[in-house]
Amino acid sequence: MVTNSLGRLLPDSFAGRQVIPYQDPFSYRPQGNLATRPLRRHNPGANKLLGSLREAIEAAGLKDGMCIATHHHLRNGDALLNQVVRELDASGLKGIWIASSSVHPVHAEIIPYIEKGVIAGFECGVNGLIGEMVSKGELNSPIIVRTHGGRARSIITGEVTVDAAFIAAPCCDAYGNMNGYFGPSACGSLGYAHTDAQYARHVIAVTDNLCPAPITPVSIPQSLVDHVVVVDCLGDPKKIVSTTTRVTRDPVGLQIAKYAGQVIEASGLLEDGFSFQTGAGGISLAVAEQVRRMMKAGQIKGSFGCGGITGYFVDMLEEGLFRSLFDVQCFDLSAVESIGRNLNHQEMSADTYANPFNAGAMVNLLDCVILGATEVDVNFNVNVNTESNGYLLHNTGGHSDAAAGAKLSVITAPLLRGRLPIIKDEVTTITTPGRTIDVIVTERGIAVNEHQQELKKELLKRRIPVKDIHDLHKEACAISGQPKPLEFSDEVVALIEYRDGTIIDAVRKVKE
Amino acid sequence: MSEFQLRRSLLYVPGNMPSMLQNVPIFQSDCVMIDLEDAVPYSEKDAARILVRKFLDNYRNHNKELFVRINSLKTQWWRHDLDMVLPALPDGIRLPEADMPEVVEQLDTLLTEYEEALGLEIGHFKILPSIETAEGVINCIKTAKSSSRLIGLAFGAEDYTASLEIERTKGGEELFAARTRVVWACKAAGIQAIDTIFPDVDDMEALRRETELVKSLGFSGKSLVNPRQIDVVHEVFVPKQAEIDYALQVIDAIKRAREMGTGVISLGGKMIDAPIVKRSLKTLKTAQAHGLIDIELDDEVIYGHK
Repeated sequence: MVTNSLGRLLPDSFAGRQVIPYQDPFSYRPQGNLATRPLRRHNPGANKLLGSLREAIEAAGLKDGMCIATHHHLRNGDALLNQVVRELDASGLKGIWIASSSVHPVHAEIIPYIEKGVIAGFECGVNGLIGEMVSKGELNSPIIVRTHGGRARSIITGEVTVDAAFIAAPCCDAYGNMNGYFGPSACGSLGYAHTDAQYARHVIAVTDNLCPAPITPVSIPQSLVDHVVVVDCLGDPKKIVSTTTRVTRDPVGLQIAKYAGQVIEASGLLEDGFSFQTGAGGISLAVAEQVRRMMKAGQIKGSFGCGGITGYFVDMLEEGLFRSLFDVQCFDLSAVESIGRNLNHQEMSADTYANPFNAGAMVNLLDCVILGATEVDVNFNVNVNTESNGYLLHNTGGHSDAAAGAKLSVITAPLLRGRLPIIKDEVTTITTPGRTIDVIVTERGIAVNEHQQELKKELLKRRIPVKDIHDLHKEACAISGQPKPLEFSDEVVALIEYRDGTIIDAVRKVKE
Repeated sequence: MSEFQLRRSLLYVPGNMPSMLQNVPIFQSDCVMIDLEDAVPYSEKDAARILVRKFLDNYRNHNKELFVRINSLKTQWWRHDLDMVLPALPDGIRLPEADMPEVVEQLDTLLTEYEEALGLEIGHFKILPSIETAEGVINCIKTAKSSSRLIGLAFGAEDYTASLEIERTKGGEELFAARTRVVWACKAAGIQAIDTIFPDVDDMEALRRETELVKSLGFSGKSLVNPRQIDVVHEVFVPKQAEIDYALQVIDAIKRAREMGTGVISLGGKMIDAPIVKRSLKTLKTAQAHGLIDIELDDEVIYGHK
């Protein structure tokens, strides 16, 4: 066992790989080159179209123990991963690893194939039942949770080799040019799939909308794609929206958003050239609404909006509040519609978005990001992976990436959720290190991290209720009482990888 | 309690909902009125009383003015309400159906008894009566002077229109006469006039129009049914910069007058006396609540040293 710099006890190795303990957010820098893959030769007249996913599996030369990937741009509406896994089983393959950009509750369909041994484990985080069953010990399947930037990094460095990438391509031609903008399964940006297209040993475009070649605009080009398969349906884009896309009406959420707006205003960052990221979800959108009002009132022209893009950001682009949007993932159908018609709404790869090991990710240019949290501890460490029951229920997304990159990273969360305090002595799982978090905003007060003394002074000057994070913790516990701690066994079921590939925490099996 | 207690927003919070009570400290209204009356079904009166008492016990250092709306003195519950909540020291009682001054006087007498029993200063508990029937409106001029505990009168348009057997409209034309009479009663008695709730919590523009109207009539605040309404009401009551500038000049002038040993002084050729000073001070207190100015304000300014 080893302990990382945050005091988290980690196994020496996990699923056959050595564990490198997390040290700090910025200094780990392994040596080496980008990953390589075999050269290809595709002569004039050769056909890329294959009849079925089964044929594609054969053409890719998939063997037991190899690794596949899909993207999650259709989120809970994705139908491709389930289809691929069924075909893996039908092909008699065993021990396949999944390195998709994320796995959603809709993919609970593959649980029987995990039990059957078709699927060996996950080189990516998971949302929903799979993580819950693994946490309970009901499913034996190692999981390595990665950030969006971290997943791109792991493929680019060769830590993870994707043997076959099945890329859902909502608009695609027979030679493999694709975009996600048009077609019945349009999902907008294909940001997570770019790395797969560049580094997977075999790239298969899967489409339900085969268009005459060449399609335009090209998001992923033919030169990266080995085969094209037509299926009936890639999924249901209506299910891209996983959470609300409207500003919250909850007075508590609105109070949090109001404070968050005041923090942004006090930070001095809200001036011409301002760059900004928020997630979807009611509170995030309420903060965006605050920012929108302040920008309008101050006639501020921002530079770019970043990350997962919502219709809300599209409106701000169209109102001239931002010059451009950099979109790794469309969070709703307004964003999907916008990226297909507005040149300033720019698709970007997860690599460009957030990989720490390239020549500079977009998150590094962010002034401010608004992030959520399941739990925060008194050292500002944030958990977004495990729930209050200890189950691994959520993937990290770009949380740690944006927190590390942005000048001001703000966590918005209610101090009490249900009957539980959100600020704790120690979080169940560390997703994002406190050193990269600047401010925690709750409805009962704002905690400012040590390294932000100037901001703290400014907030106090403006009579914004700044409180010591320990006091907020006590305040929460005075209302809720001290919750009984969760009990875990020693068995590690998942690792939480930091964006640089070091391990920030381990998830253990819950004692039932 | 200062004479210039700001009461722009008086938020109702149902007494039977723990999730909402828990958030009372975070709402930024000037006053919260925890409701044991209409919000609470008959079957939950007991439970709500206990819940509210527990909440008040845990919220002794309340960060805003705190009233409890008890059940009407015509019901069987009001006495139990008082028994339960008064020992937890709310700032006062919102009294429903204050149709005549005798109702307020009855409560006043009882509050004195509670204060004696609890060892409190007489007058600790304030009263905010609801004027919410035709009879209440007719009698409100006397009601406004019925007790020294009164901080104001609160007009209640929902019950009032019901008592008139008419519909309440968003324009509020049908309320004009009653509102005006309530304002007269309050101004004559030197207390605050608090306007009725606005029930459509999604129509912020209509709320804004109504608040602007009642501000122009002389009301100093409004009862609210949803925390989302607070900001709109506060925005309406925010003083204009010219008003603030003038008020600052008035306060400056009256300070000079005090130094000269007089209570009257001329400012820009206009006589400044106590009522103008009082209004200016109110403007500045409101400005301060909005974070527009940052100065020390002292009630002694109006009266001079006692």
